[in-house]
Amino acid sequence: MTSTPESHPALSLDETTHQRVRLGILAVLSETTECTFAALRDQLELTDGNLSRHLRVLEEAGLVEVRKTFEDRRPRTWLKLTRNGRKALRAQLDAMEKLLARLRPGTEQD
Amino acid sequence: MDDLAEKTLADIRQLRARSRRLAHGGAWLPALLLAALVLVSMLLYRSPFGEPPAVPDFDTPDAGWWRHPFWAGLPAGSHSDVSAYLFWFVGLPLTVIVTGAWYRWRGSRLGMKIAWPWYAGVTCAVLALLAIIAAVPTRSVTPPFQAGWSGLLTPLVAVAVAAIALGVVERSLGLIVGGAWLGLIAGWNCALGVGELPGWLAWLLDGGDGSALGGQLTLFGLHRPGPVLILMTLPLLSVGLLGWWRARKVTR
Repeated sequence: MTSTPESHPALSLDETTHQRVRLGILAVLSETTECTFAALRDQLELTDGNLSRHLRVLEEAGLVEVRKTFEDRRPRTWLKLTRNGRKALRAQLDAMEKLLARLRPGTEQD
Repeated sequence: MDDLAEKTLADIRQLRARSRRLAHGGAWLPALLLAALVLVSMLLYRSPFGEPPAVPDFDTPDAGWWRHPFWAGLPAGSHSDVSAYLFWFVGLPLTVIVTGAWYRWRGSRLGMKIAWPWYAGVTCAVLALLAIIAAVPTRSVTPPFQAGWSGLLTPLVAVAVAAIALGVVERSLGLIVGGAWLGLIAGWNCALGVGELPGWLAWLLDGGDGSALGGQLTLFGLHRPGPVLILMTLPLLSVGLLGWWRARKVTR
């Protein structure tokens, strides 16, 4: 009976990062300094359109930075996790771990 | 919901591990380059493996003696202080340049970059710092006196810091441990003398008997620069070769 609605981990889940694909994007970007659009698409096995849509949401939320360059006369898009993006990923994973701990049998609280 | 959240977390962990393997799978080359640089520095010494002449030839300048700072790396007779100085101050930046080219090529091919400029910056800064501190006028140390803490003014410490910086950038515990090991062995040999043991350790190894005046470790020739340099690069070589083996399997 110690928990309050404010302290419930479900309330810490962020609408933007909780989405599975977006969480995957942040996870891949957290392991690199910069990653190309194509490499990210291949890692997540997504279509260009699908990835673009999710990237736009993350960029608008200030979690991902997009840099467009020309390499060997070809356009290339580099993606980078911002400091807020790194914080958001950590917070999201922590909240999910806490939520799971609550939901596991034997650890459930009223 | 429980199962879904658990599966999502497991998938994310797997995805991160896969991305890490891919993005950080190139550390083997710089690790081997740093180890190779240290091993090649054996050529700077007059007697890397053999015993030096019991009585140095005082008529020949520098024969058998060494000066502080130890520009060859370890306090042992080198062919030429200038060659040793040039070896490290050209060799280490060259290693950094080759490493940078490797990471640029790899990043462009894979579409994943790592923070290698940070490694390059730290390595060059430590090397520059070594040159600046070593230029401070001081009393020279000649055998049989021990250099003490000032013995840490050796290019080997710069290599150790470079390996640790690379380990941080590559998130590799093996590289961090390898760099710390290299620094520890270099620090010990440069502060006390090659293979020299402090009194308390010699006393302890003797089973608590006898005097505590210190001693010299001659096991596997660890009182000569060659075996000491091999010993200090063993973890870096292991990390590099293991990484190369893994990268080979991934690209097949």
